[in-house]
Amino acid sequence: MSEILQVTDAVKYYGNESVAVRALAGVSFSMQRGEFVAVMGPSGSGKSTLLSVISTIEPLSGGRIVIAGDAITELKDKQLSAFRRDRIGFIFQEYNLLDTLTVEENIALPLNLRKTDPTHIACEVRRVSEALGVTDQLDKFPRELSGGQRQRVACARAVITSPALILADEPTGALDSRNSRMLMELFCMMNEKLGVSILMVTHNAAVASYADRVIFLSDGKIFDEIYRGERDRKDFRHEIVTVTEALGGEEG
Amino acid sequence: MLFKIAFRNVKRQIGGYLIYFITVALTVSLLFTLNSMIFSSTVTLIAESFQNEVRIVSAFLSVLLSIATAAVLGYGSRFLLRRRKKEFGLYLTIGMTRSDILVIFMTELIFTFIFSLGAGLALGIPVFQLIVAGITKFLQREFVFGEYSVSGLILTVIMVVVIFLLSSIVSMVYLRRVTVANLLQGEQVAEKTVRHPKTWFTVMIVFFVLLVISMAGVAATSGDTSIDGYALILVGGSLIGLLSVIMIYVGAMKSGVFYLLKNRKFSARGTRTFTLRQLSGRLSADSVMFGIIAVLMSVVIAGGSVFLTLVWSQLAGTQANNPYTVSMYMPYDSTGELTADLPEWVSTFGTVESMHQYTLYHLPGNNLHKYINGYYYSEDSVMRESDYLQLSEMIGYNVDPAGDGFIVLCNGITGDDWEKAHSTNYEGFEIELGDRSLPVSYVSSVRERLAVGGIANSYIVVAPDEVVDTYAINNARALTYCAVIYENGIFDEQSMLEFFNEKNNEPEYETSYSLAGVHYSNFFNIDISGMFAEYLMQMAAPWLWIVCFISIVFALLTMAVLGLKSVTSVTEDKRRYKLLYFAGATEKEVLHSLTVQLLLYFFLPFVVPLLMSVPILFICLALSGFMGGYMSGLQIAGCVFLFSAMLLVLFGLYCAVTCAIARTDIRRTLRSVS
Ligand SMILES: Nc1ncnc2c1ncn2[C@@H]1O[C@H](COP(=O)(O)OP(=O)(O)OP(=O)(O)O)[C@@H](O)[C@H]1O
Ligand SMILES: [Mg+2]
Repeated sequence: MSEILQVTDAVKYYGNESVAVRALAGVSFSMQRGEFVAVMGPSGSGKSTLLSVISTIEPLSGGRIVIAGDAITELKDKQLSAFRRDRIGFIFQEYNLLDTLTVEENIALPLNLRKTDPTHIACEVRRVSEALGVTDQLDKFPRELSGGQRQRVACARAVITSPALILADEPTGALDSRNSRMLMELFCMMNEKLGVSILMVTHNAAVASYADRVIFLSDGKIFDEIYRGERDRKDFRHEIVTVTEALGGEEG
Repeated sequence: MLFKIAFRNVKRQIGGYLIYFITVALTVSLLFTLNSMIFSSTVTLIAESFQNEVRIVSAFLSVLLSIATAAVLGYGSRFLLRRRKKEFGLYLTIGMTRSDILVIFMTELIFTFIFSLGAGLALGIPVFQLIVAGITKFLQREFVFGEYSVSGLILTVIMVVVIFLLSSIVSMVYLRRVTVANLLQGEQVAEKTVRHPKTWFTVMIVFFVLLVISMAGVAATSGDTSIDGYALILVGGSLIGLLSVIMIYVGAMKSGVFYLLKNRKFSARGTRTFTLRQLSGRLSADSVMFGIIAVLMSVVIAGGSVFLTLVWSQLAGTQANNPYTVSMYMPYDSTGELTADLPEWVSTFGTVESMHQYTLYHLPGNNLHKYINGYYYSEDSVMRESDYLQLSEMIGYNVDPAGDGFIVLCNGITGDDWEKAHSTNYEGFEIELGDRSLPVSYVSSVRERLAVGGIANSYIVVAPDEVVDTYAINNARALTYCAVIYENGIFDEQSMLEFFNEKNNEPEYETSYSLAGVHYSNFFNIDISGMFAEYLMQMAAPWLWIVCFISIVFALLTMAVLGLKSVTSVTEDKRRYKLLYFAGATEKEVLHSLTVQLLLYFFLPFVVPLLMSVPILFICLALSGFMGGYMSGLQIAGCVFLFSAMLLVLFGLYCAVTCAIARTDIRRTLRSVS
């Protein structure tokens, strides 16, 4: 398996000369192509910041990040936007969808931005909406959908460009446990069937247990890292809870 | 503490306040000009006989402007507040009272007003000079330096304070009423999708046709009072036209974007879907407002340019009818003894630039009138060629001599009769003068009325001097004329009138005579061209003042509302731009989409008014033709352009400022995470 993501000594400071907050204090890890990795850690530990620097939205203060062979730290501004558009898919906790656009338009948006041929766009939209089970919702507006359906649409939009890496920041944050479970099954399906690599931030041990590996952050550093291996989800979840407690008592 | 917050906020929130600032500053400069007009002695200098009218009108406009500005700013501060809902909501939740927030907001507004007042006054100083210069130029007066008055300044400051208080009341009411939940919500609810696009599209087409028909009707009727139901067509047509404009907007905005979105080839490219969806919601919500703005702006352009055309035509007509500073006529003085002293007398009232005495002879039979018109309403008369050449030269014409024939001079004849004289075929037509018979050599292109009064109001035969000399011996019916041009048109009008009044009472000049059926009792009859113009300006100046000012104020305040509304909605839409960015749009694409939206949002209400300037141009051309055709097409286009250009300048200013603010706002949003 080849490496899809390689983070080396990532350091990130926020703020100006007088008051600087160190959000990442030298994070190093790598991800294989087709891997599903979860990131956990207490609030303020730098999880979102990690996703931001990987997604090129925030510049790195120090260190090096390579995604699918491209050292993003060496790309220019214009190349960065193109990179973000073509290689990365985003899924957030909320507000993933543009409320002014229909579901279909939301899903097609990344391809529109790439200036793909409209007939090809229509094909692709059909393909991913079938895969994610939102075909019946295409003409609706996001406000007419349930929270779970919205996240499905968000997934559809994230995968339509066949990105190298999907970054998800607390995607289940606004969902109940049943919908969370369904979304995670969807993630697994995307991961297995579509071969998408996923890096996901979560506070929830049950959600994290769907991943192949969990990275624990604390004070901007990697605190621990556990692999699921051949274990079943329940065992894995147990271990996640144990590590979380050791980290400083977050509920699982 | 609260003051500190407020001051820092103005610095940080400079965006929203910038539009506020510009509007108040421009208003202040206009108020300052108006108030200076009320008190300054300059008005006495440039508009002595109608200074009272100008003062009253200025005061009226000044009050009107204050009220309108207060209303718009009051309405506008709602957007300013909405833009910062979240911030204020936060203040409430951390335990500040509503009064605290009110104090913060009011302090911010006071800072803004103080800055605006300073900037407005600084701007008002040159604006006042510019307007005084414009008026003196229009009235063809000598340039005077506008004098500033302390009272004008004080009144301006008082008015700004009143505007501030009035507009504050509106914000206070809003802040008192709004709920915490409402403030914290912040996020804008997505607009409803458009329904029945086909119906709206049909509505648009129907009203567009109606607009074209009504405008054509008005254009065809304007200036032609002979058409049946003239007034009805004019008023009805205009009303239907204005209603149509509103309906076209509503129809277009509720359907246009829909059809663009349906066209996948067009919309599925880059950020277009996003841009169109954003516009779709806002445009259909604001379509009625856009329609009304479009109507107001059309009225501004139409009313302004029609009015200017009327005044200008009238003025140009007056000038063409009185091309010399003073025109005199008196009974025929065959020996020249009675009028020998005329040059000397005339020169005592001012510096004479040029002067010419001449004679006009009656030509019985009125054959020239009959030949051109088929009937005669005035009598033919004859003038010497040398007089014609001289008189034309005095007003800057270089005309051809008569040669072997005679020249047809349309003396004060305009409109259809002017056209007729020029299009008539004179082949075979000859005029009998004593023992000679002359063909037409050409029709003079001199539009000015060379001879004023007496038998002069008609087609005049201009014949070679020796022919007129022989004819004159046998003809007793004649008048002596005198045309005078004073340097810069300046002379002692009052003394001249008094002088000739006295002369008319001297036994030597006591006279009573009839010519061409009209009875005259004065020896010297005097026409002073300035008096007509003065009279006309006295009637028109206050109205011109009103029309121009109201136009500017309309435009200014409309732009302010559009600007404030846009800046607010951009803030409320921040999240959407951010999502677009995450979906893979570059910063450039996001900002481009934003700019396109703003440009369209600003420009759409002006599309129809600007297009309307074409039919308006034709209406003005028709009017000017009816008024004697003294204005060239270029001058009329200038009138129409003046008002369109004024709108465009204000449009450009506000649009640029709004774009700059919104772009900075969104750029900052994109560059920050969360
Ligand atoms: N834009 C920013 N400017 C300044 N400091 C920031 C910014 N974003 C985050 N920080 C700081 O960086 C640190 C890490 O923040 P981050 O958002 O990555 O935490 P997190 O792990 O995602 O927390 P949570 O679980 O609460 O979402 C925090 O101390 C935070 O205050
Ligand atoms: Mg976070």
